[in-house]
Amino acid sequence: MEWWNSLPPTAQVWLGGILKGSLILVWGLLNFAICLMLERKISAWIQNRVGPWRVGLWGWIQPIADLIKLWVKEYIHPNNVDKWLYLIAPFIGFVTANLVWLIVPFGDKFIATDLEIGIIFIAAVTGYDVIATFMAGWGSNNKYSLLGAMRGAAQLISYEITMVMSLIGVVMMAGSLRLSDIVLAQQERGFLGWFLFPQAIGFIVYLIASLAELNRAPFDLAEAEQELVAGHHTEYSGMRWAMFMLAEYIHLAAWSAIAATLFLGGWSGPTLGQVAAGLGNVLNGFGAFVNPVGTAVADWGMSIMGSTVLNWIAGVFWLVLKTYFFIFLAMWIRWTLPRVRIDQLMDLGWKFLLPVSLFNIFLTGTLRYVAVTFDGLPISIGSFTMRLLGWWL
Amino acid sequence: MGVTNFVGEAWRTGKSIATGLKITFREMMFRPAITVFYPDQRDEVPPWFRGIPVLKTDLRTGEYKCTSCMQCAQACPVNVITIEWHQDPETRKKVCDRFAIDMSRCMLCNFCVEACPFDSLVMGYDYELCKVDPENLVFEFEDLLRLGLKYSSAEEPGPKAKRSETPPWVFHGLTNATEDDIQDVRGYLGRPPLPKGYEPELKPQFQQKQAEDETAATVEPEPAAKPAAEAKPEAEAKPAAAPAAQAGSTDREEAGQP
Ligand code: SF4
Ligand code: SF4
Repeated sequence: MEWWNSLPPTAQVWLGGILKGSLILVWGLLNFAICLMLERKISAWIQNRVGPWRVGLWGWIQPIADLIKLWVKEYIHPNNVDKWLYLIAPFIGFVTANLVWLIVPFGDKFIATDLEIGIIFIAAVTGYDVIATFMAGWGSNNKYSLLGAMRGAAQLISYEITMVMSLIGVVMMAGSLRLSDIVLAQQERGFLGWFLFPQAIGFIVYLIASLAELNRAPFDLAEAEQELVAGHHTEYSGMRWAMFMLAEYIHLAAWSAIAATLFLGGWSGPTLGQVAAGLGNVLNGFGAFVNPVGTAVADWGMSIMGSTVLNWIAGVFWLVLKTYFFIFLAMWIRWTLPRVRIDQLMDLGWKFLLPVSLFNIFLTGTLRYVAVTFDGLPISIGSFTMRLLGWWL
Repeated sequence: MGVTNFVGEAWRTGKSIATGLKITFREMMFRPAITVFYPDQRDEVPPWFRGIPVLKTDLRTGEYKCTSCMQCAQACPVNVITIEWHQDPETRKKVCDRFAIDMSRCMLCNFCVEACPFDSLVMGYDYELCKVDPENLVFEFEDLLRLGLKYSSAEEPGPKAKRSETPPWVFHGLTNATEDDIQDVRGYLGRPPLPKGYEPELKPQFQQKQAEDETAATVEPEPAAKPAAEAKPEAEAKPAAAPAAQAGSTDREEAGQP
């Protein structure tokens, strides 16, 4: 740290930025490899197959082989494409997917950039995805690409509104747009004080809207391979095509991390120190028969409880666990439900999810007002009801 | 659309989605994969499987059964069977010089098998017909005969080659041809029809049968109709019948008990 502080501030900013950026890139690629493999394995298990099997143990090195193959493949460059749009589009999608990871808190103060406007940043960055999709579709000069891109744009724009609306409830409860504040607010609410329970409606709406945002089945209309060859990336090949794949999966992982942060308490969870202390307590019989082993375990737990690194590791562990729960959910849904039609999609978005998310905002506000106003008042319906409401909100 | 309708619709949608998710979860967690790891393991093909059409051999004499009658070549819809023959001046029989099937164009339709009046062709079980060079997909007489050994059986000697009792559109299973027959260590199989009056040197497993036939024929004509080949299935049938008898006896005992 001595060495770091001796650097001029400009150098600190640049070096820190490059370091964080590279770390996030590596993290994103790691997640991509795991997600790709999980997707193939889960689809295989659901269809009673075994999935990739030959490369590595149970085929777990397959994504690397795939990437190498795509890397050395020929870049086909069609004649009549709009050159710059065509070339840049995949990379814009890839970059926006990675940007979301910037604001995901992995632990207490373990975050790349702690933006005050975190949630607005998410909405803004996912908005760029529309641009990438549409650039690819328009630049390819292909009817299928254009149709896919138009569908994608319509879908992403309409679901963006719903998604942000469904998050307003969480913001109202936490009182902040900053993601680390939202995690801390959930921690303050005590054991399982996740926003999942009070914000169940918002959670479901967010889940559906995000699946649409991510262009995943049952809302993968932009690349509906049965109707449009591959939608907006029909004309791409090799590594540029792989960029779309990378963007899709990194986006999926990032979206899952955001969902875990907002609704499942993010990185909060028992750390190693807390677990050891609790275990020591149990071994001591909660003080009934204090023995040296239990005391030693409890003391060890207490001593490592304050360690920043260990707490960060625990935070990453819990965040990854919750993230992969959401990734699994998205894949499970993908391999279960058939694709919706475009009119059904629009109906669902505008006529169902948007009113429901507005109702959720209304409900959250009202209940919160009630809870704050009557907090502590001796009401005849019993303190238990009030306490329940208090926990709820 | 009223609020009740709205909520009801949402509820039904959610319920059906949950049902679907439950089904896929069950498939994912509790059903084993049905994958056969192909090059390491092979699935059993069903008896009606149609692989490459192959030529049969009479395992008793070692002659190929084809008489070069060209019926199969006529029947083939894609004209992939090539037959060349000449007439043996002594026996006045046709001798096949070339019999080739171009498997790169064969569509495995079974028409040639149905057309063959001498039960010479059969659809084999071999399906790994992958070659680097498509020219290697032309299967010549020797290849077809070698592949067909698995499906060949020893025929009853008779004045005329008989059409087998199984109609050709009922697909043949493997016969009881032994490893020795298929190996063809003496270079014995797939030879042209023998001249009249020539007694073939029989393979050991058929020599025994021939001897029995002769002795039976000399002693009394009645059991001559029952060649050794039929005796064997009987012997095989015995152990199979024994459990059935046991089962019957236990049935009786059970029935006898109150
Ligand atoms: S199976 Fe059909 S296509 Fe093939 S050789 Fe026989 S008749 Fe011709
Ligand atoms: S129909 Fe049968 S006997 Fe006639 S040429 Fe074809 S395979 Fe030989």
